[in-house]
Amino acid sequence: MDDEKIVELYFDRNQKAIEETEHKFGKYLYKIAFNILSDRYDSEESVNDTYMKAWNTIPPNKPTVLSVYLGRLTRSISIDVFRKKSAAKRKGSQYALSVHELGDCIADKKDIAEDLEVKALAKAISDFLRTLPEDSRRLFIGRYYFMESLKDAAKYCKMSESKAKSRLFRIRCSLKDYLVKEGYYI
Amino acid sequence: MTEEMLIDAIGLIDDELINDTYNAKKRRRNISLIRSLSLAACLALVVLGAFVFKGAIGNESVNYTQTTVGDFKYGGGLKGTFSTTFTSTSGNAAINMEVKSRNPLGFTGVTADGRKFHVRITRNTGICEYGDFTAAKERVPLPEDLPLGSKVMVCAEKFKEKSGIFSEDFVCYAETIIVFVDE
Repeated sequence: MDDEKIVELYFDRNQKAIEETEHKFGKYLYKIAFNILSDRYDSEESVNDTYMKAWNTIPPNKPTVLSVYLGRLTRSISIDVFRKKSAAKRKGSQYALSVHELGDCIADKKDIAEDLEVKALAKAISDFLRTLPEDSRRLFIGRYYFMESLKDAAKYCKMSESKAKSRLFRIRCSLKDYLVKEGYYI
Repeated sequence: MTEEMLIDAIGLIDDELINDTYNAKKRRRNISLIRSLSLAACLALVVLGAFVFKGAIGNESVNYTQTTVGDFKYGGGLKGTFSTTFTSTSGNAAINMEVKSRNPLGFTGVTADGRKFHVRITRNTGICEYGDFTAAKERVPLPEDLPLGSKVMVCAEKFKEKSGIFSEDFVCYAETIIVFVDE
């Protein structure tokens, strides 16, 4: 089914939207989640949360590229799960406990200023990526957006793993220079 | 700036850039799939060619295309192979095979009329269908680690217990099994 039709189903509040989404994007979303979480059950849960979030956010949102929209949701949900799990693992540490307790003094850990900063940073990174050759750009996005293994990312960028590794290193250095030039403190 | 912020920011890069990579990935996957299918087709042709060649030099005098084991017929297929479709004529659909040896791809056996053959299991299941072919599929796992000397019955018994329509005409096939006659 076309993306547009699936989005229409969401707008009609037709539950078939979830079914069609799962049918068309289930594996792709699971892969993103699994790349981040490396755990089958957590990944499945993240994908299910993605469906739920999509259901709750479309409408009002009307994604033009559904795969990107859903992928972004899965990525963000999975990263949250990962962070929560990592925090839980650190519970024994007094340092982690102190940080956690001090967190109560802040209204919301992700405040508006930080949100804006992240958005501005995202724009700077997008601009930087546009200056890169196609294969380097795809390699960077594959590795750091889709969180693919180096091997997988190198494969669809048609380069060897070692070449991909050194290319990524150079991209990271260039990104650092670019961000410094843009006024970011690193 | 923290690493977390950087990760979050990468998550918000422009749709167009992400979509481009997503499409490249998809294209790459499709190409791999086509390559695999082409390779499989080539291999199938080579195997087919080998059988045809073998038949052409006339080393086979036995016609394997319609061989009966007990009440059970399996037909079709090229020289040297049996079809993977088994058709019951009397309702007794069991193929009894005594396992003589085993290898990772399957096991060799002896039919009721004394023929030796080799069963290759390409995956771990056999599939039975009955009735008008529209009925639900019954998956019957085939043994993966058969002990030497054990008896093997493909599909039939389990099927019988479950369906209760065993005596009627039915077709039982195991699409994942290839039967070779042992030379």
